[in-house]
Amino acid sequence: MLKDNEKVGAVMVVGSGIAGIQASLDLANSGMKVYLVENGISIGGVMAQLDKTFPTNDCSACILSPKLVEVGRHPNVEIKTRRTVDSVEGEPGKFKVKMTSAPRYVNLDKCTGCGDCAKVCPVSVPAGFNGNLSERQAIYRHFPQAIPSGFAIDKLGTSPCKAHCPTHISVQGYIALIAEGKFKEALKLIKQDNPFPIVCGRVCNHPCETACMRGKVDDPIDIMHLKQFVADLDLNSDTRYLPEKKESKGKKVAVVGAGPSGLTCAYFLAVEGYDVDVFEALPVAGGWMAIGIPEYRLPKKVLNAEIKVIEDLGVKIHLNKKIGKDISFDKLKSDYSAVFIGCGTMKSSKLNIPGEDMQGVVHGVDYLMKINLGEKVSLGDKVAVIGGGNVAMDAVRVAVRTGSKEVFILYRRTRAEMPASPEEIEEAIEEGVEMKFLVAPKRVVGKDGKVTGIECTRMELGEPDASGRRRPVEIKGSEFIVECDAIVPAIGQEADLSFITQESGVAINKWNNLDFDKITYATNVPGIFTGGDVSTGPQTVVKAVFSGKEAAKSIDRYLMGEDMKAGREKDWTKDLADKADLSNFSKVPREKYPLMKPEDRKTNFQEVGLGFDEAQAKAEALRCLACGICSECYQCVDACIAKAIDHDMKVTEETIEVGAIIASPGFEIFDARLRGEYGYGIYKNVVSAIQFERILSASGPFFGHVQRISDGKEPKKIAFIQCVGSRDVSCDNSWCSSVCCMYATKEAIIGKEHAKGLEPTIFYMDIRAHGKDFDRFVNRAKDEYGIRYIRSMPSVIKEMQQTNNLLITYVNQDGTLSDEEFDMVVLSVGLMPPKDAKQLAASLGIELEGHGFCRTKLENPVETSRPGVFVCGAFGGPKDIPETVMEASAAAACAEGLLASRRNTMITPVENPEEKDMRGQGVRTGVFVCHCGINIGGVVDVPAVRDYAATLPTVVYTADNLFTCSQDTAVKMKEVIEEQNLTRVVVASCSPRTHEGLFQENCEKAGLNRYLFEMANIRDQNSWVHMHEPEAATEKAKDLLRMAIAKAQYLKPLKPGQLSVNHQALIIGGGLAGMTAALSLADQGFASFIVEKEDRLGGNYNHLYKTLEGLDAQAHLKGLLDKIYKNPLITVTTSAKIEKIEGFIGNYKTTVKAKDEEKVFEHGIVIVATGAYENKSQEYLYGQNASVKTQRELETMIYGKDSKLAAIKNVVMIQCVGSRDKERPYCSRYCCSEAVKNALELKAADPSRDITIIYRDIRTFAFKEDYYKQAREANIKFISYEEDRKPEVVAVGDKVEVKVFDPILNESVSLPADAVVLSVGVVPNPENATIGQMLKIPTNQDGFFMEAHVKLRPVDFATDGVFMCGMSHSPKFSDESITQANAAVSRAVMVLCLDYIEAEGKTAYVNKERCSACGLCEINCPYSAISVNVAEGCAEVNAVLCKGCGICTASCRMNAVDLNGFNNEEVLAQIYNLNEG
Amino acid sequence: MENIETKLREEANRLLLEKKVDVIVGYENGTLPLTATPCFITKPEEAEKLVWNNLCTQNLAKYVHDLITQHKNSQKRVKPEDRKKKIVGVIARGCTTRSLIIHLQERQYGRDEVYIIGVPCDGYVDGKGLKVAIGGADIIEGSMEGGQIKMKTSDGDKTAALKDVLADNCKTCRFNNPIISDVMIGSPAPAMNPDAEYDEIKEFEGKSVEERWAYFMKEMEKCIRCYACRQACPSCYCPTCFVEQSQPQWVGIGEDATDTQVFQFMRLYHMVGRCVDCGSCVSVCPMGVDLRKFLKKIDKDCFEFFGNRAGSSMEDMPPLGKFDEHHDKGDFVYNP
Amino acid sequence: MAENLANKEWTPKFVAIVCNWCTYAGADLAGISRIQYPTNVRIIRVPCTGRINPFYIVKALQTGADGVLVSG
Repeated sequence: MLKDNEKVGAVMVVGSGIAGIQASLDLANSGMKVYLVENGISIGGVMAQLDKTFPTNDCSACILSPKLVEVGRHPNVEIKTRRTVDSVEGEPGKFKVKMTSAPRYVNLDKCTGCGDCAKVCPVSVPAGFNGNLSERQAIYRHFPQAIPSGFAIDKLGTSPCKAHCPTHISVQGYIALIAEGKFKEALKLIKQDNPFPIVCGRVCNHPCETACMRGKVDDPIDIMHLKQFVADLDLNSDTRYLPEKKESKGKKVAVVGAGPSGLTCAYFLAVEGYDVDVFEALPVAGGWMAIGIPEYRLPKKVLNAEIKVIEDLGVKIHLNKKIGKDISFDKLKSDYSAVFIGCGTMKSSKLNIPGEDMQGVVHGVDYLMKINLGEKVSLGDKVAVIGGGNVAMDAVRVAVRTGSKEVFILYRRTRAEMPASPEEIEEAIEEGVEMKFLVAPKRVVGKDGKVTGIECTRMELGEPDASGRRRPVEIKGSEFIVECDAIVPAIGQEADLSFITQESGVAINKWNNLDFDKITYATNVPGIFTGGDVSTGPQTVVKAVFSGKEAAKSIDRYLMGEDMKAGREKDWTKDLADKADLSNFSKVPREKYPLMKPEDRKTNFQEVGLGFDEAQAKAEALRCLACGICSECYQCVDACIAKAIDHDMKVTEETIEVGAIIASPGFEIFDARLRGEYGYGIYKNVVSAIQFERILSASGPFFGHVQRISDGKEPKKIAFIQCVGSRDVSCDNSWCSSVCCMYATKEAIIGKEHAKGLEPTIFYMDIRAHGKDFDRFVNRAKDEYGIRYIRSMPSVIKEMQQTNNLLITYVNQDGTLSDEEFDMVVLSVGLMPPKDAKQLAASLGIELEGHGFCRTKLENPVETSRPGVFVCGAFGGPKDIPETVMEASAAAACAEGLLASRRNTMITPVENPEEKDMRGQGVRTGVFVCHCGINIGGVVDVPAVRDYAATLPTVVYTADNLFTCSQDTAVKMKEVIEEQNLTRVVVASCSPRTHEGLFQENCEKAGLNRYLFEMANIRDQNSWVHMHEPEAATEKAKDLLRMAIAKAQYLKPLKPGQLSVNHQALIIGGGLAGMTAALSLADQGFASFIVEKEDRLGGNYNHLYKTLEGLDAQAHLKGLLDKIYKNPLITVTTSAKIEKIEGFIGNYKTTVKAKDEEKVFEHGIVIVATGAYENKSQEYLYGQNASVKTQRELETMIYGKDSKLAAIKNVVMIQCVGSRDKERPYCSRYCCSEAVKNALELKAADPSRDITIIYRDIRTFAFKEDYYKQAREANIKFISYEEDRKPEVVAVGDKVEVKVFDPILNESVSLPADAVVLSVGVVPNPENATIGQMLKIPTNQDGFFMEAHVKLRPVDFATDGVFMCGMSHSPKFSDESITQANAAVSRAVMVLCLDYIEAEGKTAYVNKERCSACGLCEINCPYSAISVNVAEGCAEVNAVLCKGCGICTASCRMNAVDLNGFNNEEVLAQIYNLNEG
Repeated sequence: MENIETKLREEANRLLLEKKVDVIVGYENGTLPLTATPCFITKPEEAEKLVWNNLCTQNLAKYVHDLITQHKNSQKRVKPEDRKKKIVGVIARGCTTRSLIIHLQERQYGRDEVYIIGVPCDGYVDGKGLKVAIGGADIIEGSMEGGQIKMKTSDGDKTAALKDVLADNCKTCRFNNPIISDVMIGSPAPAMNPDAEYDEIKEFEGKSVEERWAYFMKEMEKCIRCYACRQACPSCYCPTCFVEQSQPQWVGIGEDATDTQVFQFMRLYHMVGRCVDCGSCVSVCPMGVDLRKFLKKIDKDCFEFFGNRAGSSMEDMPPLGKFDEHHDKGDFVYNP
Repeated sequence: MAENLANKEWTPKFVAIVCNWCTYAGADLAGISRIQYPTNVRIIRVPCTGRINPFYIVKALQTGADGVLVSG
């Protein structure tokens, strides 16, 4: 055990759905530092996706959003997105958590959330948030209200095309841009890495296409020709694209050789601001591109145009200047700051066979050079070209074009091993070239020194060699002679390095190449760099380009005195985005690249390739699979004015120390494809519930219009199928998902509201409306909305071909089959353990239970198997939002219990300077108008608005800022406030909902009261919604700003009220909930008074012996009582009655009468745990016949080992006795499970017993379903009944008989019973009303207490300082009471831990002179914050209770009540300033 | 009627003698023929002044409120332990008791501070209507007998049937007998004709928006903002009426027609669920503005939307005074 | 008003007095979603529609607004 002072006052919350958010807020508000860790890019979880929440149909996003904002802005909460927990070491109180942080690629400190990036992103992927019913970009925000509001980029890794391209161009990027028609942007992107798209678009060996994942679906994307397409567009445009040149660096660099490497090097150096001279020995620039590649593949014209761009950048190319001859290498060295050698390999390799010097042997390099330089070379009729590379192909095809009749290739391996590109080979064959494989030349045969033939030998393939190709082995004695007029050996090239002097010291290696560093391309001599073929031996253009680019980078760093190597090494084979599932992609044929016909092209040098047209290019580009998601096209980088995007972010690791951990990773939605019979993923009009939720949502893919996916038509008949992936052992999900019956009902209702003619049908097994007010909701769905419920599970769905309607076949209760056609089907998919549950459990060191959810303690459902690690929400089992929220608070309470001693040790309090004295200053307003990058400035004329503001009264200072929310503006604002002695600040920018707090803090830092600040929303509500009306938007901006300035002059400095807090608690009710609350409070060091009406503690828990899950309740109770009576912080008063409660939050005084003694307690908060009672039934002969008992009585008999039990053989249990009827239209929640529990016990004790449970719906939700299954397997019989056809209990002698209609047999049956056991349900405590009146808290129509909000504030009341738990809230299980008690404590501690309660500044106030004490305000205040002081004859506001809603002000006829921050003068000032002047 | 007057005087005398009340607000004969005017009597012998007839026009609740408020204000200068309650007796017909109920609901005074002497009512004479009925002649002398009004006028002798010259609000009055009282004088008066209560309004509602707006504008043009309506209205008891407030100033004090409209709009709004249709404002309006048309429309809406009739019982709170978030049916959530 | 309606060039001016928690948030959401709407509305933010003194509506109309939207 750690000592208190060794513990860490911080908690990590893993998972940021509503559970994580609630836990974080509770912890942060009670002095704990919180790290909220999230796997995704924003918080909110599934709740953010929901449209409405049952049973009140509140908008889910609307109730969630304020919480998102609150947690996002909370100073004690640090949100960490894209994090994975790797390991947790240490012990409770002090854990070391190791995490991996995946890069977001967007700097959240800079991102303003404007979305300009997404507008330019060319990559669309299905939007998971919308259930894949719409698309989003690769750079995105999860949903509009997301927190953090910044964007993020999804990358799956480097797309294979980019990785395999030697120059690593963002191939996927420019393909995506082409698909969008952004051709200029595509070219620009290419040119960032390769200045030769014209060349590489024609003659590249395109390893990108080899790597292209599309190739695994059908054929790879024609990347090369797409590049050609955009390059040619640029070529033919009026103004060519020129990269922006940096400022001149005043340094000169020499480049030897005007080939692809040299020119690339020159290009990038020129861009960097260097003066570059290129020296070329030949009369033309381009190197091999010019003299090696024939015209028909790469016309000179286009090559020269490409080189022209480089010259236009300022590079000087000196032709016919041979180094070593015209200029010495040493002079070059001394004249230039750096030298790049890229002179290529321009010497042909020799065959080294006899006769090679005969006339008629023309080496390939020389041959092509001559032709390319315009010489006429005729080789005769029969030409043998030796070799299998591209040079051989070029030579052979040139020979065809120069008139040779019979041209053939001699190659020593087979076609498969030929290094030439396949299309080259193909085109050569098309042009009539013959290929002779597995032949090697031995000797040139000639006559008179002229070639007449060549002697060859046959080869066969042996073992693979170093290149991986099989080595050719000579077949002895297979020599033969091939007749020919000329021989063109094209087997290789070498460099001519004669110009490199020994004095220069540049090392030449054994292959006659320059030695160089593989990353920097530096030679052994400082300042001398190399690249291209001269360094690597003969290679491709694209590799030469890469080396030139890399060398340029090195030269720049070298000349700038930087480390040349730092951060450049990169393994492109790692992190490849090649793991996608390709099975979902349909085949789309590759666009056929248009070529000139062979017969037309054979005789001339016209370019063979004709180029794609625009339509072809787009179609081809659309085939891209976007393997990497983000294509790294860098459009976002350009679009982002805030400079927030950083594609180079890396995966990082971090370790954080915390005292406790709360796991709240939520759940995974069942993948309905696993229930193939429903056709999800195949039939378009079969959607999952979450998809339907998005369809209903106003912010969803169809803006809330209910429509079918297949044709967009509004459906009429819609079927909901329940239990898809729940209660289904066939897919291994035996549990009930707890929420589906309700959400389906909700979706049916909302669907009907959106589409008036909708006819929803819900197919179900049991309707599980086991929550508070749920049955009312279902009844309303049936009675008011006419929603049809059918108790049946459809076995199969078929799609109708013509209509895409869906035919559902289902079994009726009587066993007959029905077919029914629906327009649309919604599958109520279940809740699964989170996808990475196993991994997370391993990292956190906690156990999972059998279904894969988190294993929890029976005594406390938020405890995991590892002390100090708590759990909340659906990770612990499927559950609804209120239970999730309760657990979140409960987990927070437990974590705080562990760390209470370290409260407030990890948080950083804000310290502000003293407020300045403004007396006598008058109103001096400073106005800051924000451009928000181009978000406002791109639409609104910001300088005009600023200047306009300067003309308005009270304004003494105006400014416009690029980003008013940036740190530097904050500093500036503070300075301006001080210098200009401002007394009001007005910012015209975005929404006060997100930014008011930030600017108010700026004011406070400058000593200005935070309430002297006002905002004009000219972005969200102006420039963004009037993007196409700049003038009108500018006028509106002026109006909004004028209104804000006018309001500002009336603002008052406000001092929030303070109220001292008594740190003790009153707990009304000493049942399980009350006791748990007292102990939990004591854990956190707070004293409490339990007031119990009965003479002993325990309440209903006294009657519970065992829970369904097997907890020994009596032992548990004993333990609790023991702890309570030993704890000095807990005062118990039994047989007590509350006489009077006075006061309010922080300061209560309660008078209690216990026996004859009167006690007065002073306390700061109240926890209401008044519990509930077992219903006293008069039905079914209860009380008249001894055989009729309640479940509780039966349980007492079972665990009391009652001897009478043995004789009870036939047992009939009747459910819903006094529940779900007219008088009590609610479900008592636990009775089904209790019946199953007792039935199982009876059966286990005596398997011969005949037990029947007569029920309405079996509501064994969540894991309790397993026991229901167990019961059926144990041959316990279940017969359902309808409310209007109740069973009948009749006495037959000393026995009883139960008559019930069995819907499956379709007849009445009589069941003789030794015991009839009634599940009598729960009634609320009748004293709730009285206590409610004392505390000003309401009860619902059933008499249970009504929480502040059914979903998100299940233990709070609108009245601050009062909390509730246990069955005073609604019927519940004992473990749920424990959780709610802990939750109430968590909420209460947020008050108790304070010395003072700070009120909100914007509260109501009363002008006494005007008040006539009519009391209207008091009636209307929802928070009991205003009341009439009768003695004074006027109303008074309790500023601490006041929430500033202003209802009192509007109801006051005298205008005597007014509201700070929105007072009448302020609002009227806005109204009066609607119009100018 | 004579019988009631006698009983009334006896009762007033008794109450003052027994010091059950400190003052009684009632009516005495006016100085002009065929008028009655409010009076305050504090001595038993003054009880003889009291009258009760069809000429008693004003809603006396207004004076109850004034008296109690003035008294309370004066008591503020007295030490708390020496403060005294003042009990006001009031002669109250149906509409008066409705106003008293509103005061009580709005906690202006306690039920023990007012002693309600209930009287039955069969309507009062609309003075302006009477004058019209007799062709605008000045009345020199007049008397009432058997449902007939006999007058000596500047234009000779005239008679008018009482039922013809009753005020509009009286003709269709639904509450012409007291709703609450401490003592009831006489037996309940027969019912008037409440079924016709909204006939005029229904007709008005049948008109187009433009026509109704034009009517409003026309009526408002007459208003000279003398505030007599407000002064006479028992529901207008604000310490400082909004028209006299500054910071902010709600209504301009110039001659702008819209300011008049704003004044009347807001006063009408303040009458929601609080106008008892006593006709006081109409009777005192020197310009004959048809205030009742608008007030009655509000009254109708209030009943139809919220089931409320102003001051019809202590439990029937006006709509703006009975909102309860927690018991709100919230039907709008399901039936938008 | 009638002559205004007859004039086709005329665009009415609206004031929306809205609740901070729902409609104002909704208006922000419209912005985030780039939903375009006419420019002739000016939004005044209040903490709750319950705060809206009926006077505000009357004064807005008196000041020249052609319509007032109260939403929350």
